Parts: sequence; C-alpha cells; structure tokens
Amino acid sequence: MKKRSLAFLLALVLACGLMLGGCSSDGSADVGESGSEGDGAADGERVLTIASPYAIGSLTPWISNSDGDRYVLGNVYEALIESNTGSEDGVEYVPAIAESWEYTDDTTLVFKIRENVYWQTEGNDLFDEKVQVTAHDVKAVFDFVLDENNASTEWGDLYPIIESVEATDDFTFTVRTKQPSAILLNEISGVLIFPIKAIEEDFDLTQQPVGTGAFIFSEYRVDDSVTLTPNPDYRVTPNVDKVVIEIVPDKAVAAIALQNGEVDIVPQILTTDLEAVAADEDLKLIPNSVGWYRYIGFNCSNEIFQDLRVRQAISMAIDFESITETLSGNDFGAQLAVDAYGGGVPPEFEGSDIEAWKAVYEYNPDRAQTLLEDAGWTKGSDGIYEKDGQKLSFAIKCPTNDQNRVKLGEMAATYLKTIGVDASAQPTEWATMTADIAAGNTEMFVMGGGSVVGGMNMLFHSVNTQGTSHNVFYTDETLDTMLEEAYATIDDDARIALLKEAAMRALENKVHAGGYFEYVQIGMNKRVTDFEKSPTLWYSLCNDYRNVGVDGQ
Amino acid sequence: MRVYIIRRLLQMIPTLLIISFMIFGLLYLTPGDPVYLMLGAGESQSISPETYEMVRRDLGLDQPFFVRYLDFVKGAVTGDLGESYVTKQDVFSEIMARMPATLQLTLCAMIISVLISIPLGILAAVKHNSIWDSISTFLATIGVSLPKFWFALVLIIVFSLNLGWLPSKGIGYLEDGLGSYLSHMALPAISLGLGLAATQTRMIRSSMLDVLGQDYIRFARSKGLKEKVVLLGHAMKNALIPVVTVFGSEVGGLLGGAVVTETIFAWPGVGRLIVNSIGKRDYPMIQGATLMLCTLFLLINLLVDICYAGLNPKIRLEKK
Repeated sequence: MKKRSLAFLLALVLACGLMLGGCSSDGSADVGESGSEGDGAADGERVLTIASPYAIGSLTPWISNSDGDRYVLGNVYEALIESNTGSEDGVEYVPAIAESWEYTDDTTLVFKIRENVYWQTEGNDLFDEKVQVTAHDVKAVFDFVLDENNASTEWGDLYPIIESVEATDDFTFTVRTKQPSAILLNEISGVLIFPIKAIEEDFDLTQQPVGTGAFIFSEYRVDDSVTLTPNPDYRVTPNVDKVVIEIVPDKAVAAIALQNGEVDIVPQILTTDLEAVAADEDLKLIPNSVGWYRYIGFNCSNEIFQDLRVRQAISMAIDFESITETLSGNDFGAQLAVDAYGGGVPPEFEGSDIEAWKAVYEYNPDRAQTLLEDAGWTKGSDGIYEKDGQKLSFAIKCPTNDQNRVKLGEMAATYLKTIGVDASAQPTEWATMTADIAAGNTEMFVMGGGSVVGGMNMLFHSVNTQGTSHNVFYTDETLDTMLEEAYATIDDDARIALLKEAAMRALENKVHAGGYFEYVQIGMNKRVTDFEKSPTLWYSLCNDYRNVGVDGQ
Repeated sequence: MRVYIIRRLLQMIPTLLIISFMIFGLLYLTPGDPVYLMLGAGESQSISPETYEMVRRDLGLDQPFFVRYLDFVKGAVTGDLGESYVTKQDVFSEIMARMPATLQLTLCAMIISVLISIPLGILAAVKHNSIWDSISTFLATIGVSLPKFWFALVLIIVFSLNLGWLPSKGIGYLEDGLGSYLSHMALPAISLGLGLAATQTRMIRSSMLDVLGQDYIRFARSKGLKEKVVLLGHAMKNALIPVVTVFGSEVGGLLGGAVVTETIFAWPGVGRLIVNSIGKRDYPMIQGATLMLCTLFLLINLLVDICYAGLNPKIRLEKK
C-alpha cells in the first residue's frame, strides 16, 4: 500500500496534465489486457501476444538468420518434419509436411508427403485458389537451397551430406546421402518449404511470406510488431484468433509488460526479473527445454595453451561448481543452470553424460599449481607465474550482451589470480567478439552454443570449428574421426556410445576449461495453454503435437 | 537571404563529404565481420569457407576500400544509399519507414520541453534568488543529471506497472484510435522532453538574467511599460537567441540520438535502427542512416540561423 502511495505521489509530481491527456477518455489507458492494447482486438477475440527481443532481419525463408525471424517464419512455413525438443525422450522428430519417413537403406531416406497440404491463399497475390503441395514442390525447394548461388543459410549444412533428392511420385520424396548421416533429419527439419513459383514469378516472399503453416502473415509494422492470423486451409484449427509478435528489445521492459498483462509470453526473462515474475500469481516461469551451453574456451593456437598441463591447471583452478551455484542460486525453486564440467552436450542430447564428467572433474588449486610447475612455470617475485621471461598473463573475453557470461569470465579470472595467474575478464561487444574468436584474436573466451543436434561437431571438430565463434584451434584427428564415425552411425545405441566417448575425450583434453548449461526461463501468463508441451517459439504454435491457445477472453 | 541560404547549402557539400569519409573509414576499421553475422554463424550455426567467400564477394567486401567508398559516394549523390545486408531492402526506404516514428517522438518531446522550460526559466530569472529560482534550478539540475535509461524505467514502473495508466512499450497508431496513439506516446515523449526541458530551463534562466540587466530593459521599465510587455515583448525575444541555437542542436541530436529511449520503449525509430545495424555490421544501413541524419542536422542548424533574423532584425545574415 505504501509503495502504491509513493508511486501515486511521484505520479502527481511528474504527470503534469499533459501526460494525462495521453490517457484515454475515461482516464485510464487500455493496458493490462494483452491483445486489447491498440491492436484492434475485438471483444472475445483470442489474441496471443509474444514479446520478442529480436528485431526482424529478413523474412526470406531460405535465409533465416535470427530467432526473431524464425518466430515468424516457423508459423507461416513448415518443414518436412519438426524436432520437438520438449519430448521426454529428448529430441524427437514429428511430422509436418511429411506424414511419415523411413530409411530404406543407410543412405536413402524416403518421406511420404501428406495429401492435405496446401499453399496459403489468403492475404497474398501468389495463389488465388487452393493448390496442393506435392513432392515436386519439395524437391524444387531442396534443389534451390542446395544451389550454392542462392546463398541459403542451409546450404553449408546440407551440401556435405546430401547426394541427391528426387520426387519419386507426387507424394514421395527421396533423399540420398553421400554416406550414412545421423544428423540428416535434424538438417532437413531446418529447411522451410516455400513455393518455388514465387522465385519463378519474381514474387517477393520477404515482404509477403507465403507458406503452408498454421498462420498467415497478416501484417508487419516496421520494428514494432508482426500479426499472424489462422490459415483456414491448415489441417489443424489454431486455438487463437490472432498471434501478435511484438518487438521489445529491452528484456526488463518485456518482463514489466508481462507482469502488466500486456504480453503473454516473454522468451527470456532476465535473472534480475525472475523473482518478480515468479511471485506473480498470474504468471509462471518455464525453463527452456534445452540447456544452453556456456563455456570458457582456450585458443589452443596460443603458445601458452598448447601445453595440455596448462589447460588442465587452469580448469582445475576454477571452481566451476561454485560459479554455477552463484549464477543460478534463487529463492523461488527454479533450476537455472547445471554444471557442464567441460563436457559440451546438454543433458537433453545424445552423448551427454554429466555424472561421468563430474567423476573426472576436480577443483584443486594446489594440484593446478603443481601442474603449472611441471610445465616449467615458476612464480616470480610478484607472485605471478612466468616462464622464459613471459608472464602467465591473459585476458578472458566475454560477450557484453550476457551478464551471466561476463560474470563467469570475471569469477574465473578471480580464481586464477589466487593461484598466481594474471587473468582478467575482458567484456567485448558481440560482433567484435565473434569475429575475434573466428580469427584467433583471443587468448581465452567465454562463448555459448552447440546445444543442438550434432552440436559436438560444431564445438570440437577441428574442421567445423574453423572460422566460427567456437574456434578453439584444437586439432585432434582421433577426436575428429570419433565424431565423424558417430554422426555416420545410424544405430542409436552405437552412436550414443561413440558420442559419449568423444565428449569424454574433449573433456579430458581440456578443449574447454569448463562451463554450465543455462536453463533460460520463459515467462508466461497462466492463461496460455499447451505451450509447455514444447516450450519454444522456434517452431509453429499450432501443429500436430501442440496447439497453443489462450483462456479467459 | 536567398544568397545566404544557397551559400550555406553549398558549404554543406564538403562537410558531408568529410562526414561520409569519416563514417566509411571508421566502419572499415571497426572490428566485426558482417558476412559472419549475416549468415547467422554464431552460437549454433557454422558456415563453410565457400559460403563465406561467396557472400563476401556478393556484398562487394572483397573490393578495395577506395573502390567501395567511391561506389557509396556515387550512389549517395544519386539518392541510392544501397541495400541492407540484413533485410536486403533499399536503405533509404528502410530509414524513411522509421523516420515518421522518430519525428513524431522528437516533436512531442520538443513541445513538452518548450511548455516546461520557457515558463520555468522565465520564472526563475524574474524571481531571481527566490524560492522559485531555487526550485527551478534544483529541478533542472536533477533533470540534467538523471541517466535517461534510469528515468525511462522509473516512468515505466510508476505509470505502467504500478498505476497501470499507460502502456509500457511500443508505438500507437492513429488508425487504432487517438487514445492508443497518445497513451503510447506519453512516456517516451516525457522521458525525452523532460531531459531536454532541464537543459533549456537553465539556458533560458541565464539568458533572461543577462537580458534583464540590459539598459534597454531598464529604459522600458522606466517608460512605465507593463512588466508583461517588458518580459515577453522585449526581454524574451532577445533571451531566446542563444537558446534557439542550443535547442536546434539538441533537436538535431534527438533525431538520431534517442537511442536509449527508443530501445527502452520499443519505439520503432531511426536511432534503434542504427543500433541494430551496428550490432549486425550492416554497413550500408549504418552509412546511409548516419549520412541522412547528419544532413538533417546541418539543415536544422541552417534553419536556426535563419530564425535568428526573425528573432532579432538587427542580425543580418547577408554581407552588405
């Protein structure tokens, strides 16, 4: 009550008439009811409002390069299949345009296309009547993205795997691979199927996306919001009348909007706002279905870090368990992070074995110092290790756009200082940092990623890490072979065993010093239904396995 | 006057050339790789060296610095600011799509600022050394000192979260009703306008104090003119000359510099566009938007100089 009175007093001081003119005629603005705030929502209309922190970059279906784009495209377009990361069995693939699929041999995958999929007809000039989607349409899209000249973001992932694609008949689509591939389904789930007619007729899909998904792209208000409406020709009737994706770049403001009832879902709640959201009886926190890997990596091309003993010593000198606890401790019972112990695979993915990693992890500053001394480093008069006149001194670059990762870098540097290593955290702007890592302009760095199917290839394979933001300059032919073999093994049990072995090898060789898996919390109004089944905005809000809706309107 | 304006417009050409070279050069030296960011190669996406080279070539980034710069200048002269790396849309159109939002916000902030600063500044000067002066100075100091992001968040927490009077974010559209339009405008405009008013209040106060001590004001009073006539008819007009200069500069700054306000309030303006583009190293967008804002800034300064003549006929813009 006191808080409210103070707020009211402040309001009187600051609000000088003019401000009140901004309110509606009854003296109160129409806030507090998502979907009814100036977006033309009619009474009783079921409007789901999502606050996306990401700007819309490009709505071109073969060049989706940000989460913000994907939140829109994933609802307008469909892939052949989708991956449901909310599954209790980890990642499972579910039908989308394809109703079923099977391997006829290790390198041939055959998809059966549904016979009730149609291009959207409403709100576009491309199709004025219902046109069925066939295997020939799917083949045309794959041919398009497999053509290097079209610069599809999927090309780099697909061309090393796919040998050829074929429309065997109107509703059978066959993919042949160069060799057996365990990540083929994952790569195929990333290819959105768009009408090739648009390319032929020079129709701008970026301005007017036309797909087969549950929602029609209705309106884009520049940098403000995207409105989606149900596709009447879709095989499932969406449980909402409208989806509004509002672009709210400031995550703190998005959390306020959630508490205020202006939005229903906020995909990432800042640590500082978690408690307030958790305390609100109308809201709930939902952990992201996959732990996002955050790690401290070495630049192994740096002379200091070429010595395994130095990498081991640094890993051993940092109490990663305490750091994870500090970053994730809370009073509202949410699991915000789990320790990664230097292994790179989240618990939800194949190859993860946290218990085994924990067994070989050790926080032991004394042993760390012994290892450094074994490697020829001796403490100088200032207490800092040195060797051949060179101080054991380096920076840990950490991205400024993630306070947790900055804290990880700062805490790690503090631990290292206590044993005589002159380490310092160096917060760095994201674009600069990713370019620096790719170019090798780092010593140690805090990065994140790889929490995807096939992620280990991205994190540890000496070829795949080159020129990326995971560039550790670590070359281990044995590890490369293990990963290649694992991802070419179709048998699940055999593949998982190989992946566990590879992850353990990367851990033992200290490619990464350590890290944690972060469970980013999604803030959601309790009136939203069915979202928790697969808590992600990456895939459609309405399909065969979930149909997100809103109650109480 | 016409000759003066033409001369000033011509002077803008070398200024803009220098600015364009600085923008281009600084971007060239800035670390970060647009190809890398454009392809989304970050946390969970890898790109092949072949794709990288192909995209780099397509964007013309394999060309030498001066070739790229001359292409940019040639394009800018003909009104073609290029194509965004990210959205693949025409840069000029992308900027113009956001300009109305920025102009509306700037205009509202200016109105709030003028409505507050002129009465408060005059009051402080007229009641010099009184409690009114102290209150005015105190409020102005607070307004200048408060960090914009903090003040914006306080406004949101108070008016949106606690009182529920106003929406916390986004822009309102007239087609959705005047109420929605004004309620969305209120917090960002107040946040910007109060900061501007604080600076203006201090300027008006000191300028008025200076003018009120002039002989012609004493003469006007000794003639028995009403105080209102002395203040508004004689003193204020002269006192506003230096204020207009600063005001012009600040408004010019607001057009591209309301980045914090636009980001916090999710206001879809040019400032936010520039910040997003910097994050993605969208060179054509950054270059185009900055050049356009610099041109606007120069034009506003020219407008301010022209206003001088209106405020005080003694000031001659043309050489005799």
